[in-house]
Amino acid sequence: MSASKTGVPDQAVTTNKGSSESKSISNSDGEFTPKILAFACNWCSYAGADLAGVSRFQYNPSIRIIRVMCSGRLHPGLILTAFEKGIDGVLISGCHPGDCHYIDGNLKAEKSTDLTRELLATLGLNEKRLKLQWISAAEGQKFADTINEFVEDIKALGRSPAAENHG
Amino acid sequence: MADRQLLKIMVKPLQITVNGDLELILENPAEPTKSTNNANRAEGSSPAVVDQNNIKIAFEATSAYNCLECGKCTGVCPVSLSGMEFSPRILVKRALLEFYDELCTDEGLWECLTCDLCRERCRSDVNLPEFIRRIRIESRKSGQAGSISHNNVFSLVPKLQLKAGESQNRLSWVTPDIKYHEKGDTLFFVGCAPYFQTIFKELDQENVATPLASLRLLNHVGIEPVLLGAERCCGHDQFWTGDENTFEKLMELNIEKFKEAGVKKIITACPECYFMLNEVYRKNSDKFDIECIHLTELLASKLDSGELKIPESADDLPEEIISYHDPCRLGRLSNIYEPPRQLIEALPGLEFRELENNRSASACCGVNSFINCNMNSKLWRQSKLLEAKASGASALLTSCPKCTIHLDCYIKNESIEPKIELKVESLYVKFAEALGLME
Repeated sequence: MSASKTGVPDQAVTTNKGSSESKSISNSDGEFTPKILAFACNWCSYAGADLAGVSRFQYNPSIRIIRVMCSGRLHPGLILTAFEKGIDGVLISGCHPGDCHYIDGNLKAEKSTDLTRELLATLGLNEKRLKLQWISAAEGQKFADTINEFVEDIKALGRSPAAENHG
Repeated sequence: MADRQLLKIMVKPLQITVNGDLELILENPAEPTKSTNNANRAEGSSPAVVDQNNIKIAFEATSAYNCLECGKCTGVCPVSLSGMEFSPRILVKRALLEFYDELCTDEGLWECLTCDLCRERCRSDVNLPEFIRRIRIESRKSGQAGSISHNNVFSLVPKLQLKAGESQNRLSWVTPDIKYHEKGDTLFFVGCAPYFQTIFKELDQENVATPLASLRLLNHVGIEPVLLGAERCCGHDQFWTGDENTFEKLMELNIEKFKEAGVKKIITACPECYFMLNEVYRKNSDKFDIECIHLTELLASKLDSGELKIPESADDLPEEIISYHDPCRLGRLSNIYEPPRQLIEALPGLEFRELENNRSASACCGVNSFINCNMNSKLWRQSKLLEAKASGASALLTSCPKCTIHLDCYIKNESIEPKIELKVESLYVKFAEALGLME
């Protein structure tokens, strides 16, 4: 069994290592293209994403946006499912505290994300792979900036160890 | 059962039509109840196809052909008693008659607690829980997803552990006073407590207190065990819910790590891990020849030999009345009933009262493999806790970290009625406290 191959802690991964192991999903320059999910809440963040689109703000296409009714829907189990399926980074975006359409759903999202980050750390995955950002419907530029920053962060971290093919 | 509201009484109506002659039509009571059975199957999907050979092997491995259809299993089954349309022997019958679709889509298949009460009562030596486990494997293969609770978080952690291995940070709870090694011949198998500590933090259960107490107790009797940084889940939940693939990988990786560390003996506090290592790993892997001992057995033997002495209680307080819950995996499945009682009897300041249903008659705590966390499960936990209250106890001790979680979750759940005033405590923590090790 090649269990020893996965013994490299995530923190020690450098960009070089990431790009050499992820040839299958790199673009023509051989650069590592991460797989990132962005969960956006219907009432604020998804509208903010829409605004970014309408305003022609450029942001990195390495993300897939999934609309949820509320960021509070994201139970730790769902976030871990994403990582188990090989996702390199998860961004959760919701309404600012106090503005949640369902009163306190975004506060639940904050608790769930904190809990999941702890689990990721115990599992040897870098906590930076999970990000929570409050984005309102008027913050199109912020949405674009958040995506760009997050994609760069994940590129620097490299492919998720949970995604590598295991003997 | 305490709560009659959930008892569904099925009444098949007597239909009488008059068409010249009086015709009596009785609904056929033996008709399989299709409406609920197909509840789990996706719309438009094809009927379940199972490998008949595997079913035959299941019959032979569990002596299910011996079934006399006496119904004792159904009579004692907690799932059946709570009103659900579930019967262990009906599953055997369906398999026999090759009603594979009804078999694989039966709701009760995933409600079964595998608590072993049916096997305990069966006079024909049928290993019903093992039969159900094998049907779950076939059911999964035929496309059934099985039951999922808490968004599957409890089965995802072991899956992510497969690749994580050494990069887990699973020993951060170990305090500096504890002496342990990376290699050696005696391993303390921790279990999933470090992960539960995070997942259940809102419930304030201090899940790592059990392994901490266990390690301090081991140090106290002169044992400095191995702790593995790459330990993975024993695979209990995967084994019992039919996820053969993940279970086998977990088992192989664990055995590899045991061999690397030079382990010849494993001590564990968790009955589920103990059952898995001692019986299942041994049966399913020819590379596993390691001696396994449960912590209660080890401590009881140290009490017997006099190596372990409990100091007398200094204070004059009235005795605390406590009771003890026999976990399924330690009791019926592993036959360890007396060592935990020996430990309890040795503790000062406690009056021990047996539950009405104790030892091999002990009721399951109500949850198995985290697959069902529903109204039925809450009912079973309620009945267990009420049984403890009825004995007059103010605290219920248990030797299973999982049972502790489930019973404590009921107590601490603010939205459940009725509220039960009872403490659920880990036997290991209580024992370590009596020795002054948990300051």
